[in-house]
Amino acid sequence: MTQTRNDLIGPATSGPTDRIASPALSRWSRRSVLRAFGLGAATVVVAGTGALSYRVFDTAVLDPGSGRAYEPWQQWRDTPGPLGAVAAAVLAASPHNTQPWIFGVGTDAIDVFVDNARSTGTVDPLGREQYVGLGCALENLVLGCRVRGLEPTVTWLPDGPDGDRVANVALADRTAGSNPLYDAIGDRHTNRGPYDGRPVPDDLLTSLVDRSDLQPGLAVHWITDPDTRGVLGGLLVDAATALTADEQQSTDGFVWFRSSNDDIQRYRDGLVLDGQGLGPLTLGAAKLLPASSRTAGDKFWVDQTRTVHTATAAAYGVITATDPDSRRTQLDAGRLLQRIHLTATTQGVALQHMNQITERIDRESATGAAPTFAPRFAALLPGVGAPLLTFRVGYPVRPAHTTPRRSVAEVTR
Amino acid sequence: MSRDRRHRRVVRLGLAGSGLGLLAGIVQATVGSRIPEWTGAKASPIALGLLTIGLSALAGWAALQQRDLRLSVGGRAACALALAGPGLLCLSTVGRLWYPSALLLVVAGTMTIDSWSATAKMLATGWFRVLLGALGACQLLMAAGAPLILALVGAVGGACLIAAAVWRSASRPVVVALLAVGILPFAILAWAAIVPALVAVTAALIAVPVLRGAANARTVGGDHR
Repeated sequence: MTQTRNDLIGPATSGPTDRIASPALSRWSRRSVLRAFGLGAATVVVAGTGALSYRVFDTAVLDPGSGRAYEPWQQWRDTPGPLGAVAAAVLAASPHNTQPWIFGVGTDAIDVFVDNARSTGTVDPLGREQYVGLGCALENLVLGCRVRGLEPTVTWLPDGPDGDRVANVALADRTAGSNPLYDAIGDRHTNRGPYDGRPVPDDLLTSLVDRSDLQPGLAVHWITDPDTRGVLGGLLVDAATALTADEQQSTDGFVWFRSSNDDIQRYRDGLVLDGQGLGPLTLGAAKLLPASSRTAGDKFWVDQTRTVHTATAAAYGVITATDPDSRRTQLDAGRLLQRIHLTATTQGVALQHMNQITERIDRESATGAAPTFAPRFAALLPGVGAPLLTFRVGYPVRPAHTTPRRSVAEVTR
Repeated sequence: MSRDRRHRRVVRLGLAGSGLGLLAGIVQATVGSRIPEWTGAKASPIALGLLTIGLSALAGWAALQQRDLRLSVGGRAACALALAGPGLLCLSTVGRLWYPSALLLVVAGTMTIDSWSATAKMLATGWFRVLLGALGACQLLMAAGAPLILALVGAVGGACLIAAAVWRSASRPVVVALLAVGILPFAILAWAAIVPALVAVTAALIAVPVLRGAANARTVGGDHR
């Protein structure tokens, strides 16, 4: 081979038959062209692989649920006293994982405040879900106090229903004890993945409900028969479709979606890909892709509602109330919901909150639009009061992931 | 500036950058989560701190090699990469603490090269090896964001790929073994992330011309150092 060729493409050898006849291209043989093409293609592929590798690193694909945003899930048992009870409270469910709580912690009392800046706007125009979330946190707080040797006495809405202080929890000494619901706090996660189709026995569903020390007027209805489940499933899909068609609701919901690991670690709240119940391969691919747009996210949610959430639900639970607009009722409903979820967790039953119907009912009410979803829901459950919360249950195909949480230090004052 | 004098400066710059980098890595691994504004608010400060320490040590080793004035063109290119690579990469592992090291190491890496044209020619001749080494670096990067066991497997695998790329005198069975260790375990354990499998497939394809080139080199009685 000539020195010139080696300089261009390296030391590969070739025979005379490889040469291209044209004098202008006499320096190039078929083999050298193929080699140059191979080098170029390999370079492009390696460069692309490099970019994807950085994406794997940057989005923590290999170590989901890691970092400071997830540390509250590892540390919630460690702290004694009232701060430890708050550590249990921050792991409660909340709408869109907004965590709308602030805790004022003293040695003999804990005040719980609503953080009005943490709202989902037109998704929850009447603030019902926000107060339900506060009720969920209060249930965890009460459980966390008792196992730490603190007897909690809750005064609800001490400044009235319009005050920011939603509860005062006075603390007295008591004997520390264990509680299986407390032990389930770290394992309770909303599971948006597919359920395996096995029915949940009726007696098990009944055993999930504990109304002790809650106000009368709340009821839990289980929808297990396939026909009614199908009707409610259709209503849920329609509500999801209507919610995504309402640009303001769609926008207000989307701002709580955290699409990058940097945002997750910075804000430590909101909805994340890891919490969507996707299979491992789909989840890996989704994290490698650029962040999805609001419309793409909406379409994904409606599709998931149709093909996974409603299609694989073993049963639905609906919490109804005779006075659904009462803040106290909403707080109690939150406590009841959290108990159901914790008890379900101890029994290996998964649960997903599905409140798009009531979100549409409240939206139509707030805007003065003609009610479309309220009559359909009322026809489904006639004469039982107004629906406040809806959720599905079933046996999960795969476990749910943890979602980010703000630390105790960030939510106390 | 004479060549000898320039290389002495590279040693000093590289060691200074490496020393500061080691310090930054130790800080990230120990108190990184408490000073996030200085350490980049990373999700895995301990793992990233340890990675930074390793890369700083590599840069320090590359700086010390500059004392050998008989280093080949390929050796100088490798040292330049070992200095400038960590200099740039660790900007994403330690945040602001790395800025001084980045400056020192990138300058040192640039000053390491004696002849850019000879370096370019050398790289063109062994481009598949360069790509294989790059894939090893990709694996090291992914391993940096993995939990401990997976991180160790990925780090060993990435190092094996790089070794297979740069060890020109290695026998074929050794190169094949290095490639197998570099490709398979991490791809199997981290399959759900897709990219480790992509790295494995790409590395396996690129390994074919690398192995063939090594065989040709041995046939004509020498390596292409």
